[in-house]
Amino acid sequence: MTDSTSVYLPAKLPYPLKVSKVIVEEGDVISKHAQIFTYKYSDYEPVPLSKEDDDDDRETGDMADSDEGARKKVKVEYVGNYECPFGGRIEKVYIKTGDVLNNEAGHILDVVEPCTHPIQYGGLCAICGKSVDDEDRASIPMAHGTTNLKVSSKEAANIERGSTKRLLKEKKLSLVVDLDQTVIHATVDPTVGEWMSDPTNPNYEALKDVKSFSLEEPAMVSSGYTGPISPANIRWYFVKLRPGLHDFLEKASKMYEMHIYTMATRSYAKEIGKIIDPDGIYFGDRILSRDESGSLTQKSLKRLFPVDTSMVVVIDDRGDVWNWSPNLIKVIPYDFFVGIGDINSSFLPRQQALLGPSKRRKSVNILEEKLTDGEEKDESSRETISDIRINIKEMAKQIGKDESAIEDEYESTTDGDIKVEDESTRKIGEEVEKAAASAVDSSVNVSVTDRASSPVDRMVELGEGELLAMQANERSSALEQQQQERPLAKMQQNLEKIIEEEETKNSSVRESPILGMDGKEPHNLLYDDDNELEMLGQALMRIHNEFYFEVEREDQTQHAPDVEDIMTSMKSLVFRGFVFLLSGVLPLGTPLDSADIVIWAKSFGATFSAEYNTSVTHVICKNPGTFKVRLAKSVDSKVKIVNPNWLFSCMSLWEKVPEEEYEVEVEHLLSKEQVDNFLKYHNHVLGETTFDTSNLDWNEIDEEMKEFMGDDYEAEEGEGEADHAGTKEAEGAAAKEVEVSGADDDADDGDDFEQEILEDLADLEEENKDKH
Amino acid sequence: MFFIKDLALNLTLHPSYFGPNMKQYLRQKLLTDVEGTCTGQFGYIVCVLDCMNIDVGKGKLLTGDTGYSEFEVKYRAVVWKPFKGEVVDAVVSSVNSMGFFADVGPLSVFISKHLIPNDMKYTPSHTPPAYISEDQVIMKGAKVRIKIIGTRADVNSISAIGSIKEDYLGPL
Repeated sequence: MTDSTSVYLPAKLPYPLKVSKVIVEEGDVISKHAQIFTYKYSDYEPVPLSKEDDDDDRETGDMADSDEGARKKVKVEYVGNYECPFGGRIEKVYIKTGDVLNNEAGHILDVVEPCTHPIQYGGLCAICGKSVDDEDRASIPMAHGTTNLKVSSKEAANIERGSTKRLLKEKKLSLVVDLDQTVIHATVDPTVGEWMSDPTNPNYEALKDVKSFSLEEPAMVSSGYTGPISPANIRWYFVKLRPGLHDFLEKASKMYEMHIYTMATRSYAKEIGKIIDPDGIYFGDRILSRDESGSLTQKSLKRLFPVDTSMVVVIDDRGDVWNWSPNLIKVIPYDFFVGIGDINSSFLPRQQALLGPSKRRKSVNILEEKLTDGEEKDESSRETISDIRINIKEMAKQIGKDESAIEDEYESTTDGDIKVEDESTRKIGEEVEKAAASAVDSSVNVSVTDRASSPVDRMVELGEGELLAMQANERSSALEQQQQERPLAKMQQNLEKIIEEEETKNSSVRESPILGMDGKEPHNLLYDDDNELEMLGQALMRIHNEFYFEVEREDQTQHAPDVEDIMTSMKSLVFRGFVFLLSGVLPLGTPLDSADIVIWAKSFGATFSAEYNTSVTHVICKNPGTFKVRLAKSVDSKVKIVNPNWLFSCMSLWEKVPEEEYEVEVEHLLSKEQVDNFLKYHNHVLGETTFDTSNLDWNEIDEEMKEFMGDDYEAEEGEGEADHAGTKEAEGAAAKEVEVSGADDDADDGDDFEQEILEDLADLEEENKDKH
Repeated sequence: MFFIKDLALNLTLHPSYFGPNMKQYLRQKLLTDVEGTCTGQFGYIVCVLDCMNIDVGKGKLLTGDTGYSEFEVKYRAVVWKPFKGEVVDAVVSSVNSMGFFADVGPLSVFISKHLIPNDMKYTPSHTPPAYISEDQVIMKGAKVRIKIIGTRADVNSISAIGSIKEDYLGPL
């Protein structure tokens, strides 16, 4: 160790100081806490009470002139001495007797330490074996499996330099791989086990290669519980590997050194590691789980690569946990067990609508859309209830409420919980029987305000210990719920209902719709049709090639390549120059900039527009009946109306795929008159600002409503009319305002117009539901 | 280093266990409670000796209305405490770029790369990752002889740092 450590003064000393004596000399070997110098400083102190009278005589003016009631203060001189925080040989002393030090920036000494303790393990220096108190010196946990092992930033840089050199030599990059929904999909629903052992089950084929393992997990305990510890319960996990995973890992391992980074527990991650990499060839020991992550809600590259992330690529199905890092390749979540989601992210913010392309089979697709609809309602109610629970607990803490009272209240909320859940499942059932067409629109109307308080928000307010316990409980209760409610079994039932209905509709199918291996209409809920990994593999290969192409060029350019730059420039080409308009894709009221799909597509160079304007090149929608779609197509026939699946295939292929396959037919174009009106209204193409409501075709709008409502609409016509009248008036008023205030407000008014129509629809629909 | 140590433990017993088998139950509870645990002061309690002669003293009812009673149980046990300078045999449990961990029975010792001979290089491409020199390999599962160069005892855990950068140390 030849490096010297510079010693600076701590901030808490009473500046300014006057050095009265320097005790050490250059070349001295000092031990820790040895005195370096003594100093004098002055301070004002209240005059001791007993002496007050004397002081009045002694003090000469400068202190005594304060007001009568306050105690007088005297200037007192103190001496102090400064101890060196490190031991070692003193190389250079920068201060001398008589110096006045004004602030903590003063450079005192250079000390050559025998050991700078750059690696520490469990409070011990891993080099000299001494017990180390100041843990600041090595603060970066770099190892995968433990947080006890910490290194200093200097050492971290050293280690990374070594690994960068090695990777360059091997022509590899680093790849950080997420587990759940990226390379595997896991569930605890015991239905899967039953289906797997039953060859007559329609899902038997798809489940053939599902792996399972069991983990012992401590029983759920509420905080403050002191009774006997109940035995750990054994929970079975069922794991489906993403199709082509083995090939993917095989290929990727040639170009990348792979790490696992998961939000799951360590034991879970290890088991999955055994399944996807039984020989430890691909990942080795490079597994980082929630237990060592350091954060419950965020993943950070700094945890594994504290200094240099220029050679790291991340694949994950969630962008938000990575804060949309430029190193991230977001993949489409692997959703094999329909509706299960990520079992290890119950404490993360809920995912918003539209995560991946819709399922290829229509019936499953319908089912899923119903489910998201119901789930959102269910989720919001569940969360508010757990909110209430916490509130109750907090209240009890504050007021010191009687135990039994809390119990009662708790009980009653739990009852409410169950009721709500029942209701929503009933709703799902009901809705499954409805026609498919209205699916999107009803999901559009689901309010999103309730979801604002995610479990995370609540956790932030809790202390660290509580937080961990709470998080563990959150997870196990979510799993418990899944285990008991058996969502898959329910879905299979619903699916069969849908298929049955369809088959009775199509009278050409003669065979009775029994759970069939007859090969007619597949009855299996679970279907293996994912090819994301193949495309992901190609993208990774391109990044790798590009990077090493740049490395070879580096000799000339003297500019070290960075994966971030490469990926950003590759991605931004995909949608360059495109302006997207989303319609009926995000729940109403979702801010455009925070939606996953928007951030994701923006990273590929797209721009988004909230309202239709003439620069829009693509309208992305599931249902061509919406106002925006019809407007866009009517105004500009070259606008491409595409299904969201187009977006997903572009983003997983990293190139623009032809739109033809994904284009949606638009049936009811707006009339010429309406289009002109719109243009006038929004763009002032014709230079006129008058807006005449009589031009609005209310019959057209009525028709639109009929489409949404079905037959029920007729019954509501009366009330509907009244609403229209109101709207008309409001609209008229708005139009007058436009005439007065001119250009600036126009866009907003257009917005209001559509908003109002949608609101009307929502009202009507609710009324319908009440009638049922 | 191993020691035989006289120790005592206070056990509290629920009234439902009061009865003819109480002593046996106390012995059982003692074994499950202490064997394999770690105290910073004495090290790891490896094994309770004289299983039959464990001295179960007189019980004392605890104050309060719970009915629990307390027994002081005296026993002898084999304890193991690691010392600075001690040379031990260990099994490698994990290897990373900063060094490797080796298990000495219940104790996990970290050996940093600074205390590994310079000719042993970290080779993550080896499966599993390993420190490799011309004729030696340290990978997960390998047996190594290490010298403990520092220990730190907390209330119920001990951590230790080891070295193989000396003669006669290293892979066995």
